[in-house]
Amino acid sequence: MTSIAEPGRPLFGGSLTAAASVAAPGPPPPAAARQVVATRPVEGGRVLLGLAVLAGERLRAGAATPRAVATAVGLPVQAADEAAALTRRAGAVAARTRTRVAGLPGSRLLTDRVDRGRQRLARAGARATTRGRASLALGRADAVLFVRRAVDDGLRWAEGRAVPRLVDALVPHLVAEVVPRLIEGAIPQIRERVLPVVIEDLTADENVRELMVIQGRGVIGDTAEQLRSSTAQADDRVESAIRRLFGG
Amino acid sequence: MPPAAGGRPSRSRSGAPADRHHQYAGLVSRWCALAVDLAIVASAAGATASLPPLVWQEVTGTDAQWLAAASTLVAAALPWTYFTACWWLGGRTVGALLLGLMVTRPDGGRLGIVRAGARAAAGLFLAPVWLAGMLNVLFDAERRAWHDLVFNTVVRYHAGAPERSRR
Repeated sequence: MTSIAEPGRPLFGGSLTAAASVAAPGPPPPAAARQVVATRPVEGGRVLLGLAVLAGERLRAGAATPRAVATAVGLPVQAADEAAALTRRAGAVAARTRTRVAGLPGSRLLTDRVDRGRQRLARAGARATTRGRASLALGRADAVLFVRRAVDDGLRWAEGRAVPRLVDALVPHLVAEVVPRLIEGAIPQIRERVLPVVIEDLTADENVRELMVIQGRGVIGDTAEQLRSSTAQADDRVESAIRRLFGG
Repeated sequence: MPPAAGGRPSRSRSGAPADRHHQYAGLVSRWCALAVDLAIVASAAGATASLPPLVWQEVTGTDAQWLAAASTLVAAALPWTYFTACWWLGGRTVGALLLGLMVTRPDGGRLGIVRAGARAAAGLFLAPVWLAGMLNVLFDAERRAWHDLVFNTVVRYHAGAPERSRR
């Protein structure tokens, strides 16, 4: 059998004003509220409500939660708490009455009506719980959608305006000061650690060796070809000069 | 019998066959090749004559006259051996190889060992005559020196050499 509210556990886990006053910059909560916040476990509904209050304060530049809002939020919670307490008292009275009249003649008719009433009350509570869960789910979906849209808008704004400005402002500073310092700090490490390894790898690489041999052969061959061509031209020139000299 | 040394006649830049005169090596190329060969032979002969006795002395601490004499003999024979072997085996010394030259018979055949040895001996023992006879290259139709006429040889541009200029 399901009850509307479990004994000792109010719907929102305590006073809303007390929960909101924990993070609010307004006046400190009363001693009783502080006691409630300190002793009760953290619950999802209370946290969500606290986040909503914080968000409202952010939007209003740190101003305290208006009294009207606090009252509007607190009324249903207070009503829920009162209803839960009243239900518990009614249940207790009904149970005692049923026990007392159970021994009287003709009490069967009365106890049956009491039982049927309790069952109807339980069904009503179950329906309320179902509707409450559905409402919570819808609210959560709306919240997720809202957060996604807010994040997307924020990213678009950052990509379109904030990041370019940030980069434009940072690049001269990076180029003028940061990069030279990085290079100055990294060059000795590169010389000591990286270059020897790279050179060793290159000299041990068969492909690189083969390429160097081919290039060396090419240089020697080109030089020899140039030498041969030059000497052949010199042969002809010397011969022509001698024949002109001697009239051959 | 190959038609020419290396099997391919040299050609002009235009692609037309070069005339017969320009298949033969001229004076500058031959002197340059000879200079390279003389440098190689001089270095090798000097090392052959001096290094073995020096090494022997460093190792044993004594002078070996027989080794010095043998080294000198080998060093003296080295030039003739070098030129003879090069002309006989490939028709080219190192200098000729560098300059793209080749010593052949007029028909393109390679020199035999006797002809190569005699040619080398004449060049070494009659060096002034050899050098003077080189001037005949300037006037001969086949650019032959006196020793080429004597030993019936010619010096051609090798087929692997680049194309030669034409007058």
